[in-house]
Amino acid sequence: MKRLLAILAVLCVLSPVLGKAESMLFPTYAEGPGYRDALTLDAFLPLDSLKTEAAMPEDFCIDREKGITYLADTGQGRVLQMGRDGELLGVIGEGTLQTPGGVAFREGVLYVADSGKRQVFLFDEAGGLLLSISRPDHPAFGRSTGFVPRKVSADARGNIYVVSDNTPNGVLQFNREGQFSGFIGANTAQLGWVTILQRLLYTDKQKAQLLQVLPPSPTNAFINQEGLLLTVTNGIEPGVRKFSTSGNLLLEPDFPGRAMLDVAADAHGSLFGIDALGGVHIVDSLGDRVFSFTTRSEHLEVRGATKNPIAIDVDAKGDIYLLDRENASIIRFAPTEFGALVMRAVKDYSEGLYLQSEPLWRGIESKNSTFLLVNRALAQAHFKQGRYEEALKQFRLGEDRRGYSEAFWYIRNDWLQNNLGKALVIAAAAFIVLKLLLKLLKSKGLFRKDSVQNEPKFLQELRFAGHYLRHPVDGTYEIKFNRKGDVFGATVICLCCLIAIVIRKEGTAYLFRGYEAQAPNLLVVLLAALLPFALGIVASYLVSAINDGEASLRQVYVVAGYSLAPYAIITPLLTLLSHVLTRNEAFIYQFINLIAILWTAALMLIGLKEAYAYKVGGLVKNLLLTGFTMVSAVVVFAVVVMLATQEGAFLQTLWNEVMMRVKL
Amino acid sequence: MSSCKRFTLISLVALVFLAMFMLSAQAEGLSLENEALSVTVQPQGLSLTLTDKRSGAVWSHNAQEGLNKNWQTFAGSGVVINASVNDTSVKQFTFANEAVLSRSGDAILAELDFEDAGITLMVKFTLLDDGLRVQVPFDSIAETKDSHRLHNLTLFPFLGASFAQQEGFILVPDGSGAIIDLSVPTKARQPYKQAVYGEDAGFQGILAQSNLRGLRQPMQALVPAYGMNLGGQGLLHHITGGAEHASIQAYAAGITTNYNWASAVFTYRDFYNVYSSSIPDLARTVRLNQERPNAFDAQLDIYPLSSDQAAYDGMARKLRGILQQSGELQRGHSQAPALHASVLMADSYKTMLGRTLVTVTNMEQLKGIANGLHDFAGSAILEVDGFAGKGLTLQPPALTRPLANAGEWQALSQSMKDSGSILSFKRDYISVFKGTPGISRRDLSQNIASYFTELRDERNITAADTTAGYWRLLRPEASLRLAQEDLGHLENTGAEGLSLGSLGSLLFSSYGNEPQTRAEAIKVYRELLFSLQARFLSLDRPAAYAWPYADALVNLPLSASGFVIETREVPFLQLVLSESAPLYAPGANFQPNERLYLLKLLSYGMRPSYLLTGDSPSALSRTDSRWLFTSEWDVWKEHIKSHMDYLRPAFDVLHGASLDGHRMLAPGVFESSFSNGVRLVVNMAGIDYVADGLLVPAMDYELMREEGL
Repeated sequence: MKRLLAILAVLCVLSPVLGKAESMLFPTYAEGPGYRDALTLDAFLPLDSLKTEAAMPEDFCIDREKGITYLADTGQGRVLQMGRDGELLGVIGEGTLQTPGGVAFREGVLYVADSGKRQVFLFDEAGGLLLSISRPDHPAFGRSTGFVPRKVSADARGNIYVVSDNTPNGVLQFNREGQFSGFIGANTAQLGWVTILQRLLYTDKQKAQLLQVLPPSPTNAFINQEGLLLTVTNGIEPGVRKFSTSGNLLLEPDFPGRAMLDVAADAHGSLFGIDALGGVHIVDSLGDRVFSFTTRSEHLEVRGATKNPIAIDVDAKGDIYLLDRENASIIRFAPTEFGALVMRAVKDYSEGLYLQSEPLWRGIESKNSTFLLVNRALAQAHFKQGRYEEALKQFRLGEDRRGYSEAFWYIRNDWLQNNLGKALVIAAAAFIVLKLLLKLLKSKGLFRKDSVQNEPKFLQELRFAGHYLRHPVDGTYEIKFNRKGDVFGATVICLCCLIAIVIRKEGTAYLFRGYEAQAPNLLVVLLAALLPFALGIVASYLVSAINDGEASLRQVYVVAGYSLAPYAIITPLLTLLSHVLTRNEAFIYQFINLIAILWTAALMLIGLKEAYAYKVGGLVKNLLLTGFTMVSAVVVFAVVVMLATQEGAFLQTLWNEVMMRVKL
Repeated sequence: MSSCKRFTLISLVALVFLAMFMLSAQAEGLSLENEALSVTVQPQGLSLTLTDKRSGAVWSHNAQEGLNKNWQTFAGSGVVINASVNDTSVKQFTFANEAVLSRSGDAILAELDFEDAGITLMVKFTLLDDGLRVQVPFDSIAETKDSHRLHNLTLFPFLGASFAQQEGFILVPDGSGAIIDLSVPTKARQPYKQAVYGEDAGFQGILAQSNLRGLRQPMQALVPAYGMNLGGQGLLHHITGGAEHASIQAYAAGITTNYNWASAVFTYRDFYNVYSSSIPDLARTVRLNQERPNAFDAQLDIYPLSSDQAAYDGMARKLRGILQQSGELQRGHSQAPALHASVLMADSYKTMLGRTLVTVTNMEQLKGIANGLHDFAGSAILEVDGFAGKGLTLQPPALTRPLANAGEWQALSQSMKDSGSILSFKRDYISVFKGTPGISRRDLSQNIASYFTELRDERNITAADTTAGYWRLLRPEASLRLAQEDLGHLENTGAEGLSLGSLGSLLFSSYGNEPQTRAEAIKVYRELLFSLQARFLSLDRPAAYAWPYADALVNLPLSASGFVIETREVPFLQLVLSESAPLYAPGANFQPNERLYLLKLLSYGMRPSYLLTGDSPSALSRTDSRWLFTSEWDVWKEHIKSHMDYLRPAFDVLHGASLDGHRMLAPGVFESSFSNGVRLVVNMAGIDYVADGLLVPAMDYELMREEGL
């Protein structure tokens, strides 16, 4: 706690936002329950806006040691060198550059990508030209590949990474002497369903006529402190990818959307990205999103608003800078007390310092207890300390199912170690009592044949259902010819099945259910189960009627109803079972679920085959035609509904038009 | 020449001279004068000259320098109107003709004929003790052309305008208040423009759009006034008629022209869009002009101010005095609890089998919170919400099925009263969630496009379900009926206080069978508030029309909207209100900079607020209250204790005193002066500051007492 208070005190005095007391109309979001974006306290607030002399600038970068900003003045063919307060320190590349669209600064060298000159230029801090790189003539570059450098980045050793137009092979890599050394960070081709089908079905000749599917070219790149490459590709999701120095894909950070434009990283590996909608997203070094806030405003001219944001960078203090092309301005956002605290905790957490960062996360939790990241971090801290109950609760709040499962495993293990003996004794006692009870009932003649015949009808139906489960062929025969298993019994089983569905929806343990923001509508759930069932029975019967099937509609319904018994019996048990299983034993859950489905399907198929007196081929034909009939019925119904809706809307529109005319 | 002819000629010449004499008399204009002011109205363009005899300052609006001819006419025109042409477009008409001036008692009447627009109207000038009242009676407005209809009207837009950068400022009522510094070039491209009392939901439909990650709504202009300061002389404009249909606009030099100017625009009719179909392919957007004009007498009171009064805190003091004199603001208040806490008891969410109630604060926890607040703060307003029916979301406006029985409430209320605190029930008689029981379709307000008027809860804008988070607005009469039905229920609880949500902060026109303008709605709301006056009324961010009835003002803005044109925010609103009721800031839960929040509270003469629950709000994740991310009492009691420990030295000294003055000593350092003579210096900058020999550490405050205090 003392550490937290000390950090807060320091943040309080150091944070420059505090002196400005700005308010912000752009809310900040963090991942909340169900991985949904949820409001949180403002993490960054606009500090100032620097209007520059540039024309349509497309990129900028900050020398983090000296705080100098280099701005690509794309429209005027130069790079502006500006001080901390925006004062112009110098102009670089005037006369040399044509349309500089990308800049990077590393180890005293300014790298400029000029798409107009089709060259990459290296300058020293005073503006002296060190090197220029033109189109590589290396065979690996390709004879027809164009060289239109848009963006540039560099690592500490002076290796240069260039983003050029239409290079699906990835980012171009040059050594410090400007020699081409290969491509890195290529995207993978995006295959749609149509393409996949075309590839499966087309002949080689037809395939040759298809346009080649190429992966999209990266549109921006950044080299972080560790020398790892981050590529940005506008138009695909995920838009940002992190590669090792050897070009292996390491991470696809959680940047939302398909419109990422630029990314930057701070010294601790946290990533800061901007998208074309003005959204600023902050992601930790593990790839989990920390914050998002938007900055774009079409109508309101408020502090921190951008019109056409295009580039992002971050300085040594953790302030975020955005370049707004339309206004030719650089807007600075500084962390709030809350934002600074989170960024500090994120750094510790990313380094695996779960226990050390716990006081920080406690402080953050007091400000936002629904923050997923907070709950995950605290859960990890609890887990490391063996506080599994607390960890379980916090993993759940953090939507971390893997962690939840592990914590649950330990809790269950403890319980079993403490209670296994007792549980076994109770189970054995219950078994013996049950056996004795059955023996007693038998001795009283309850299960004798004559007493069975006198049983209430409901019990008889239940008994028959049990029989049907094991002997579907005999069971169907008895339904058809011995009038066993009636509509009442089938209806009861159908109802049990519906209840089982509801129980499963509402009662399945957290580990085996998805997150639902809104509870499903009971009626919708019931109809979703009932309608296909009813439609299937009717369709199957109608198909059989014209295909020499020998069953009545009643018999089809009864057979189908009794066939649902395995699902109705197993599902509630499965729901109960879900509460004692971990993810490690998920296969048991899935296996039992599969048994329930296969058993039900087998009963249904065997029952229908016997009921219609079909051979296997006849049954298959009936099933296919039933499927077709069902689809046709749904399509016809949908068309009728759509037409009716359109008709209604048309009449409504007509009425509205008339009323508008009257008003006009 | 015969004598007859000569006589005729002489007579004609005499007549011409007489006419010229009369015209010259007319051209000189008419004047009004009292001990403080002298006003001259010229017929040409209806130009006005206002002289402050006390300071010698002369205010006029004949700007010429750097303006083209159109703008010169605009500047010189006393009245500028916009008229709709054939209900399709809007055209501006300045007044460059001569007005017909006459006297009526102590007033000057000016008849204006906008010939091109076919619109005539009358402007009435009256002198107040130390101000000028300009009025346009609604009855005097006549539209003689079928094609032109009055859209809006601006009175003396360039009165007090200044050229380029000069010492001075424009004060705008955005949120707490903000000033536009005229001495530095603005970076803004857009002017300040805000509707007084907020936008009209009845006219615009859904105000907070359901776009993902939309902007927050800017702050409202809660006070119908703005001011201008030029070289130490000030001009306060107070809209005293038609404020509910007015907006305030302010331009800094560099936006449109090289002049700084501000004015009030009164809207009589506006355009609105309707869609012919809900199907996008069939839909056609039709722009319609408002059929029935807003009927009101536009009235603007203008007060020349000098020396201390011309500063923003002086303008606030002046406005406070005016409002107190007219009974629109109470003088002094009896109770000023140290903090305001809103406690959410329950909310519910939909399951497959109905709604499940999530109780996050039970009665035991509520009592614990009440005791804790008493220990930390001495006295508090404890507001309870979500205490009936199915919790917050579907809580009926009339109190039914409370979560605790009357006896429990009475006991809690009595114990709080004994400790000097107030138990208050949160009620909202204006906006209800969709599906709230006890509300019929007839109670619901319709917007001008004949849909139910809805508001999107912007706290839930990322909600996955589209039906969640919508409020529907009630017709004012329905609000009145519900409030009166509710009174009986509240009586049983013994609670002293009543906290009203939306009333005072949401003002909208209603359409449908019985249309009602915002002005008519205000009358009903004031009747409603009057009927509840026996209780301790807390109003949530109320606008000026509700102030006379408020015993406490909660959730008052602590900042402005942050428009680029605004140089810095100032506590104009707090200065106006601090004498009439205790002022409480927005919840501390939602402040990213906690220390800054506390310092601003002190600087603005306000008290803190908190939103609390007994349990963690994470339990609410499936309810419509899922936006609440921090409120647990066990967490927040530590914060509250430390806040009160930090604020106590100031509160002990300032108890009962109102904020009287405010000024900036250095960037980030402000001095507030209070009615008991205490001065408080707040340092919100990152470095220490020495004020009158006293060190004020960075991010801290110091009290400076006069001798004898």
